Amino acid sequence: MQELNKHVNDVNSLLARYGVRFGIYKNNTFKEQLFPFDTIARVIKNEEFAYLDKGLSQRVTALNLFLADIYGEKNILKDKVIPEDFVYSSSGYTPECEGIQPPKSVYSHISGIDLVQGKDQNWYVLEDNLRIPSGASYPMIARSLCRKASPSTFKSNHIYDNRNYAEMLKTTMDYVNTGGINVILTPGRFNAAYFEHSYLAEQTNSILATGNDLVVEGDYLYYVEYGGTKEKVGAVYRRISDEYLDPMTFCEESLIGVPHIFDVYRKGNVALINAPGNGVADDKGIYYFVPKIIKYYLGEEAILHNAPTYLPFYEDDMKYVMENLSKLVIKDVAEAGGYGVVFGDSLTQEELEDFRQAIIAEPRRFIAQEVVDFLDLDVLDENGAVVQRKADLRAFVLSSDKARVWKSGLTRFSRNPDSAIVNSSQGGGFKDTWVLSL
Amino acid sequence: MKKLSFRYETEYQFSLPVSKHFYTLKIVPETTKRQVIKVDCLEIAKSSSQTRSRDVYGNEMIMGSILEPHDKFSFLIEGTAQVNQAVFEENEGFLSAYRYPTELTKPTKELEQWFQQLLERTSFRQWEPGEQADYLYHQVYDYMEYVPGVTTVETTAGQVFQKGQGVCQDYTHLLLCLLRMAGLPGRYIVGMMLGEGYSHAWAEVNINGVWVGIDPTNDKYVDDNYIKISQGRDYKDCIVCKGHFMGQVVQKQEIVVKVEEIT
Repeated sequence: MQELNKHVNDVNSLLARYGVRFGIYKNNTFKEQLFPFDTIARVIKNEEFAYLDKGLSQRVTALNLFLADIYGEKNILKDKVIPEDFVYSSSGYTPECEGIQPPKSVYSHISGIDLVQGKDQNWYVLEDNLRIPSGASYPMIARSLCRKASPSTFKSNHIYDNRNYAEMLKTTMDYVNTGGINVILTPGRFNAAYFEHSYLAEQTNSILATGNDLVVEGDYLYYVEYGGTKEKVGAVYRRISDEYLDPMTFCEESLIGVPHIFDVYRKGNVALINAPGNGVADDKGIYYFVPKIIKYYLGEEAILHNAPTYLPFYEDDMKYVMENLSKLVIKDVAEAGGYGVVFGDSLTQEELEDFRQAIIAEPRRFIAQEVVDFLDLDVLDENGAVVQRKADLRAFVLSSDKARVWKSGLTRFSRNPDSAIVNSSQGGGFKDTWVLSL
Repeated sequence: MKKLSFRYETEYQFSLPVSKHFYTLKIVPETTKRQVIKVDCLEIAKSSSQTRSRDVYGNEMIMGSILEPHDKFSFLIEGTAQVNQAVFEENEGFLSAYRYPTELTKPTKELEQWFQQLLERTSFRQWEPGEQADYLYHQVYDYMEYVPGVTTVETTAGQVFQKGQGVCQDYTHLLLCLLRMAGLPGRYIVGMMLGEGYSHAWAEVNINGVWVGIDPTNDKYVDDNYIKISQGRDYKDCIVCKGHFMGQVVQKQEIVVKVEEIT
C-alpha cells in the first residue's frame, strides 16, 4: 500500500478531472462538494467479510419482506410487533403504494447499509438506506485509477475485484425488467451526481435519460430517441426521489419527473428501482425494530447488531433517556445525512433541558443511541503524515432472486479529528474498501 | 330514495397554446350501495393516448395526454344517479390512512388547544363515536363564516382556523382535522349537490365500520341530494382534473355542474 500512497495526489487530481464530486441529496437539491480520496484502503479479511455478507443479506432480505407486508397484508402490525403509529406517521410511509406489488416483489433493489466497527471489534449497523443510496461509483472509479497508478499493489495483494458492481447492477435490473430496455433516469447534467449516473449507464449498458426523454402512452413507458423513435422501457433505475418522480401522483411542481410513470408501475408494466415508498423501512424510528423484523419474517436472530437504541415512545426507554441524555446521541427521525444528530455531551445544561422538553413533547420524533466508540482508521493528512480518524462503511447489497453483497464498499472518514460524523455532506473523505480473497 | 340527473362540464382556456399536456381526471362517480350510477355521456378533448386506472382510495381515473399544441381542454360527463342515503357504505379499503393527519389537515398548536377546549366543555370522552362526530361538525359550522375567495386550494386546516372563513373545502379540512384528533377515521369527499353551480366537498366519518356523510358547510348529514364522485385523505387525493403541460400560460376555467331531480 506504501507504493500506492505515493500516488495520492495523482489519483485525487484524476478524480477531480473526471468530475468525481459528492452531492448530498436533500429536498431535491444537490449540494456539491469535493470528496477527497485517501489511498490507504480499509482492508477487510475474507472471513470477516463472510460474516458481514451473511448479516447484510439477512437484513436486506427481511427489510424487503417488511416492505411487501406494510404495503400489502400488514401482518406485522396486526401481530403488534411494531406499533402502527411508527409506520403510518412516518414521513416515508406512502399510501399511494398500498396494494401495489412491484415486479418480482423486490422493493429495495439497491440497499446501502451504513456500518461502523467498534473498538470492541464488533460491527454495528447505524443506518439502512433503501431509497436512492449513492456512492458505489466512488470506490469503483477510485479502484480503477489506483490500478493504473500502482498496478503492483493489486498484483501482490489478493483483493476481490470490485469492478463487478456494474454486472451486479445489470443483473438486478434485468431480473425485474418487465419487457423493454433498461434506463437510468437522471435529473440532468447539471446535477452533481451526473457523473455517477452516466458512469453507471455506460457500465451497465443502459440508456441514460432525463424525464423529458421518457413518455407514458396508454399503459406503457417509452424512451423517445432524438429522431422520435420510441422504445418500450422495462426497468427504470431512477436517481430522483419519490416526491419528484411523477408530477401527476406526487409533487405537482416537479419538472424532472415523468407524468403518469407511477400508473405504469401500478399496472406492473415497468419496474422502478428502487420501489417508491421504501422510506418507511429506513426511517430512524423503524431502525429500532429491525432485529424484530428479522426475527418476525425469517425466524432468525439478527446476525448484525444495531447500535444500542432507545425509543422514548416506550416508557422504560423514556426514563433511561431522561436520566442519561448527556451521554447519548439523539437523532431526529425526520432528518438524514448526518443532520439532526446531536451528541448529548456537547450540549450545555440549558440546551439539554430544551432537548428534554422537546423529547417529552414529541417522543415519536426522536431516537437515542449509546455512543459507539468507533475503531479509528489510518488516514493520510494534508502533509502526508498518517493520522487516526473515525470512519464508517457503506456496504451495498443488491437484491434480485436473492440479496447479494458487493465485495467492496464505500468507506467514509471524518477529516476532523474530533468528529464522529462521517457523512460526506459534513465534509468527510472516502477510501476504497478492499475485501481480501484469501 | 331519489333519482337525480347530473351534468359536470369544464372547459380550460389557455392564453397561449400548450403542448405535452398530461391529465388525470377523477370525474366518474362510482356505483356503490348508496348510489347507482349510469353514465350517458362522457366526452374528453381529443387525446394522443388515454387509459383508465384506479387509485389507492378506490377512485376511477381517466389518464391521458395531448402532445400537440392546443389552447383548450374540456371534458363533460352526464348521467343519472339513483341515490339512497339510508343505505350505509361499509369500509372496504384500509382505514389507517384516514386516521392520520395529512399536510392539509394536520393540527397546529392553536387547533389542538381549540380541540381541548371543545372537549372540556362537554363529556366528549364518554360519548359514542356518532355523538362525537355530530358535536364536532356543528362546532365547525358555528365557528366558520362562509366567505368565497379568501382561501385557496392550498390552504391548510391551521390557516382556515386562523381565518375563521372559507368555502366547503376549508370547512371539510377543518372537520377532518378534528375528527382525526378525536381518533375517528375521516375522509374527504368531492361530489355534486342538487342545484346548479360548482362541485361540492364534504366529509365522511367512519362510525363502527360504516361511512356516514357529513356536510359541515350546510350543517347537516348528507342526504339523497348528494352524488359522490371521489374520496381521499384530503383535497389533494380528490382533484377532479390534474394537468401537467409545457407552456407559461394563464388559464381560465369554466365549470358548470347541474343536478336535477327526475320525477
